[in-house]
Amino acid sequence: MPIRSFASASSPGEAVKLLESSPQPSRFIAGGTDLLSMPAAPASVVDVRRPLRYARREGDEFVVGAGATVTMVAEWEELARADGGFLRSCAHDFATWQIRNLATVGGNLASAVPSADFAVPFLVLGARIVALGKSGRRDIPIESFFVGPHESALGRDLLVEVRFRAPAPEAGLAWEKIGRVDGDIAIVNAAALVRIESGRCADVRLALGAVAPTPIRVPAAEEFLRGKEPSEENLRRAGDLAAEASRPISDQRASAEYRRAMCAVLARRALARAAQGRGK
Amino acid sequence: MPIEIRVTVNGEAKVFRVMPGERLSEVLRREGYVSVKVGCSTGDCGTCTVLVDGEPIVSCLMLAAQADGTEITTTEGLAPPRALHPLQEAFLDEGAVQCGFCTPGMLLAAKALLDRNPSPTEAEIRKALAGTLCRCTGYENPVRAVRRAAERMREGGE
Repeated sequence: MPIRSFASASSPGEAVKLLESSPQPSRFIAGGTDLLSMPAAPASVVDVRRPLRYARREGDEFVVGAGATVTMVAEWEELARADGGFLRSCAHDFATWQIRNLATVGGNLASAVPSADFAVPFLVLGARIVALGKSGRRDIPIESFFVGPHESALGRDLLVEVRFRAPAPEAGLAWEKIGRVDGDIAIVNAAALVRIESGRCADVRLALGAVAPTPIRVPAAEEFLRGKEPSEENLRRAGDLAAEASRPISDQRASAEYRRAMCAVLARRALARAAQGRGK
Repeated sequence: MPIEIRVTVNGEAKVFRVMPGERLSEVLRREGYVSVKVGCSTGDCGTCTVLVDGEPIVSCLMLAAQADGTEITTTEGLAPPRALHPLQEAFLDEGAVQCGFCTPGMLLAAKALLDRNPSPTEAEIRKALAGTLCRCTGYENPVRAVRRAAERMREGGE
């Protein structure tokens, strides 16, 4: 059955009401690139792009509205100055130009696929998701957002925006992705944040995608590196710990063995680049 | 229930009656803009590329209803009837067309690139064309054609 009802919301509150009053099953639509490439269509869609098409700084927080496209994040100069081009590099590796101009960062999170590119840098940045539903507004830390493949803590709620603080200027950030061809879905993706103090790793955050039922942080690798020098040996050990923490599957893109091996490689590369600081 | 949308296509104001689930690619083809090819309907091949408010998008992954109020450019709008855009001339001169099915998508992605960046590097041209799959696998000549069109457009001051 095709979509038989379309409504365009003028505010997040109206979107939540429209979702309930539309023919069921109903879904929010933003960029539409996931929803319209799925075989099964909902009976109705509620378009949320117009009120939520913003990407702006509010005080010390960056705020990405659910209608903001991947291109808007790629071209956001103030953000690139604050994070050293970290999210921009993720955006550049995301699908194709024609998709980046439609697809939204919020939609990438809301679809909650294990390989979601933006999940990984947002795990490293400690972002939070602002959701709105019938029972009101709530904040969901990204750590507890991903529940399983195609399943998030949103439930029926609207993803309104993603908020995160600018990382400390002395912290290095790095993004890594392996895909079969340019713009393909990740076989493995990884992101790291490292802040060095007196030659040792003071803050370490490492996240990986497409290697478990949800995007994951790797506490074992983070704890191992904390307080240690970012030597080749230590970075290699942290990469091995990342591979041990992974629970990859085999699919048409790669075998579980390959994914596990690449976990170690991408984790080590991301940590090594992050440990060198900005602009590396 | 059909919905009325108001759009500008290739500079002309239009009102289209569309169904809620119809994709922009389907509506444009029904309205006669048959340069818009539909290859996969899943956003992978890029031959349905059109410019919406100057940005290249895959029109198979946009509901026509979502295009209300936008300006759309298809390959028909690149040049006046019986004339060719410098990109189209360069595609002919460089033999950049094999079966031709992907060509409309390549032309529009290339136009959007040159609108933003009149002197792209080869890497930038390749990145811009990466969203259009050519199953004849003829990528070299389109890359050369875009470079040549860019040179001519800079010389011509267009």
